[in-house]
Amino acid sequence: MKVKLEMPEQKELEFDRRMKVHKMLEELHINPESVIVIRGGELLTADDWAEVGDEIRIRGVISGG
Amino acid sequence: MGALCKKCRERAQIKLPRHNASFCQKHFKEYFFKQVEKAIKKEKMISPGERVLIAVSGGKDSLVLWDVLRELGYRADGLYVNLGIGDYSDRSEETCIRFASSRSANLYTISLPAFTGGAGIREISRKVRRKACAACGMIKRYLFNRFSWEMGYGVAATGHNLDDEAATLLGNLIGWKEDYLSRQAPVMPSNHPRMVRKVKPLFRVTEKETAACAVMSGIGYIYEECPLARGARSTVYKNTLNYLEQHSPGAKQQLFYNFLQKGRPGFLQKREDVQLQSCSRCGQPTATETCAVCQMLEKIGAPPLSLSEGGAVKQKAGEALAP
Ligand code: SF4
Ligand SMILES: [Zn+2]
Ligand SMILES: [Zn+2]
Repeated sequence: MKVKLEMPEQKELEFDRRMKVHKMLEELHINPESVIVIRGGELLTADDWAEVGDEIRIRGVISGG
Repeated sequence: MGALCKKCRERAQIKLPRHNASFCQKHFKEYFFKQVEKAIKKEKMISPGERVLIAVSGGKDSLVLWDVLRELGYRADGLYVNLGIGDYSDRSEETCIRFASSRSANLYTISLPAFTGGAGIREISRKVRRKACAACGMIKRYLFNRFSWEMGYGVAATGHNLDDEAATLLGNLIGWKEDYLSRQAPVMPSNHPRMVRKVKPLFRVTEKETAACAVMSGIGYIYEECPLARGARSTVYKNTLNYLEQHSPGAKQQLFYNFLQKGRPGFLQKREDVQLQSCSRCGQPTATETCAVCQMLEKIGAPPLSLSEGGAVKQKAGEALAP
């Protein structure tokens, strides 16, 4: 699956197996409180599975200033 | 199987550990709207029928605030200030205009460089030898208050959320800044004839919840950072609080709500009230003879600001803007 980070710095990653969102965030050292995870127009919770063919966006929600 | 909505048992799109609940799109929005309505009612932010002006930046918080207030039936208009920070300002202005058109909402825009002979925040901060964000903050607050007052709005709202408030509180506590602590509140009443009441209707919802609401409402917002933002301290505080929140859900709200209920009254008692006067040049509230913004304009050689001159204010979307 393709994972696009928008934290807001952009970066693209690939995972070659299905995995739970919380596991993915853990591997990326991302606190679930600090992002929303988007697939299509929908949000995924930490308990959802991201499947092999999915395109996932992980978008940071913390604004500075 | 993922989490299920607490209300309808459909697939949940968001989990809220601090409320021990998960929600589908429909019920999350219901929850979110209720939190905003509760903030407004409980803190007496906006009276029925009162017109409210929202400072919009193109970011998620201010656009969500605008959308929710309109959905809740408030008479909410937007004000965008173009700070002249290159492409970043132009992209955020376009974002606000696009949103306003999509909702047929009233948006005013002010261009700062139109008053300063072309200088934006970067140039101004260099000339007055202040940090960009310090100069910017003063100018934004000034224009927001002055414009609200001149246009006859009784109340002006910003998109500060729970994370913003908790992070500011943490910073003020670490520095034990009694004066700031006495002033940090979801409602700042007017204490000068030309000061408009300021309110923060999103103080009960988190940054993540606000971003989720934006996506669910189809609000396109700008999430790139301002090029002048330099590793803000507030981000460190926010990350620290999110670490706490992850391991102890509800920590952020407990910190801020407990402060409002039990901490702030003590700081208020100790506070020495400075009598605000009117600026000798512009008439806006100030603690000094000439206000900080008039001083800055003087330093960069710009004339006193007149919002009605120079075509700097434009009406963008929506119907007539007459007060
Ligand atoms: S980051 Fe600083 S300079 Fe940029 S808009 Fe925010 S306050 Fe202004
Ligand atoms: Zn539901
Ligand atoms: Zn002044």
